[in-house]
This record gives sequence, C-alpha cells and structure tokens, in this order.
Amino acid sequence: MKKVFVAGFTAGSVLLVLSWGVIFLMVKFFPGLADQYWSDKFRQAGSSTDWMFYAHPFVLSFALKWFWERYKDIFKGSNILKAFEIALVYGIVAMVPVLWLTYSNIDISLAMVLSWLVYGIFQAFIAGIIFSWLNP
Amino acid sequence: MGEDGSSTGLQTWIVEKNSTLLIEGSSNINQFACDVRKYLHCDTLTFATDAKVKRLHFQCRTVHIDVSEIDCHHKFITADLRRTLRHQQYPFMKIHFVSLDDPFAIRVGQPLNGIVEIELAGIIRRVEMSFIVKSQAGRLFHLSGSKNLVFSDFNLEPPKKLAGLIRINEDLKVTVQLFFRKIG
Repeated sequence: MKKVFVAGFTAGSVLLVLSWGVIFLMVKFFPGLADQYWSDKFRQAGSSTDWMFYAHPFVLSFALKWFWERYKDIFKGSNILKAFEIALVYGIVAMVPVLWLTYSNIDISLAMVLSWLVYGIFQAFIAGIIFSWLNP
Repeated sequence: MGEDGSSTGLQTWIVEKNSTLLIEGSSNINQFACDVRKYLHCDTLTFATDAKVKRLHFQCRTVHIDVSEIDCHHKFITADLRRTLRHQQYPFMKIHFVSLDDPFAIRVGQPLNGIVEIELAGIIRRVEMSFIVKSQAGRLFHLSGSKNLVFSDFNLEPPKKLAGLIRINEDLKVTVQLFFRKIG
C-alpha cells in the first residue's frame, strides 16, 4: 500500500508541476489555442471547483497506478517503452472515446480536443516512467 | 464659483453622440482593446467658470457610458469583461466631472488638468485626469483624456481561467474622446 501512495503522490506532484509548465508553454507558443479558454464554456477561476483542477494530476496518477499494478506484467521492454505503451493504451482506451463525445456535443475546436489528447498521452507517459522506475 | 467669489454665470455643454471610450488592457496571452462607439446618451454638463483661475466647477456633471456596449473585438473577453464590470447590476460606467481647466483659455493641443470621479461597478474613485484639447471650432470642441487604472481600484477581480493560469492583468488604460457642444 505504501508503495502505491509513494508512487501515486510522486507522479501526481510531477504532473502538477508539468501542467503549469505545459500551460505556460501553450500561452507562449500557442496563444491562439490559449485564447480559446476565455470561452464561457470554461469556468471563471475563483470558483469552488478550482481545487479540482489542481487535484487532477493526482486523480490521474492514482488511476494509472491501479492500472499499472494490474497490467504491468504484459508490458515488455525498457522503462521508456513500457511508459510509451501505457500512455498509448490510456490515450486510445480512455481519452479518444471521451474526447470524441466531448467534441460531438460541446462547441470547442478540434485543435483544442487534439491538444487534450496529446497532453493526456504525455501525462500518462511521464506517470509510466515514474511507475516503471519506482515499481518495475 | 471662484474662491474669491468671481464667476461667470452657469454654462452648459452637451456631450455629442460621437464621443467614445477606449479601454486597453492585457492578459498573460496578449493585448486587447475594448471600445464603446455607440454613445447613446445625451448628457449635459453644467458648470460655473472661476474666471480668476480659469477653471470650471461642475454642477450637472455626469457622462454615462453603457457597459453593455463595451466591445473588445473578441467575443469571449467582451463577455468576461462585461461580467466582471457587473453590467447587469451596474449598466453604466459614469465619469463625474468635478473641475477642469477652462479649455477655452488654452490653445489647441495644450494639456489641461481635471478632477473627475470614475464610477465603475458601483464604486467611485476620484482621480486627476489629464486632457488635451484636440480641436475647437466655434461652439464645438473635442477633449481627449486618459488615465491608468487597476481593477482593484474598484474592488473588481480581473477575469481568470484555468484556475488562474490564464488571466487578465490588473492594469487598464482608459481613454475618453469627448466631443462637446456649447449651448450656453
């Protein structure tokens, strides 16, 4: 149990820092994409749900940790390859269907949806590297 | 009324409909400029001239600007800014003129100082504002003035998204172009 918490919190903390970095890079290099977040489809900051934004890396890392512990034996190769594989599985199984549904019902751009897909896969890849390093 | 009691009678200016307001600001993504081009009110300013110091003291003194006419040329920022300024509760930004150097006592292009009270979202702040006489022709004249403000002056929180990682900065530059017609 202890190793689950250590790995989950380690991955969550790294992903939290990365999420700030990714938003910083988006503002700097993709201002058109960042501009779309002014849409009233997104909540104003300062609302009671702000904490959920900061908690999301931990939700993701604990979910992926559960998945990792259950299926890590089927991933073969180096740590990088294992991390890449878990990221791809997460992207295809978890993200594509949800984002498909999101795009079909919410008026957001395809670029935004694709950026979430890439970002999600990237997050899972980082979490995968941490898990394969801490709990191979 | 002048300090020594010297004053001319009350005079009146009508604020012309082509008067405009410009609000310039920035976010951590880019810059934006919002304007109000439809000045639909017919405000009238009434004042007494203190002849000794060539200064006007206003009695009927308010220019109303319709907040729901603010257009930032970016539909989301426009909506966010109007919401931030609580346009449903406070539909007008008001500029209350307190006193002003007499624009007819100086040449076109020269600066003049005024004291105004800016009322935004129900909060009034008294500020010194610098104006320039842009043109004078008969009874018509054009004043341009600007002032740097911050949202917090008016107890307002600038719009933020993504838990504050995308945000509008505190500083705003407000510029008014006021066209007046003297009627008395």
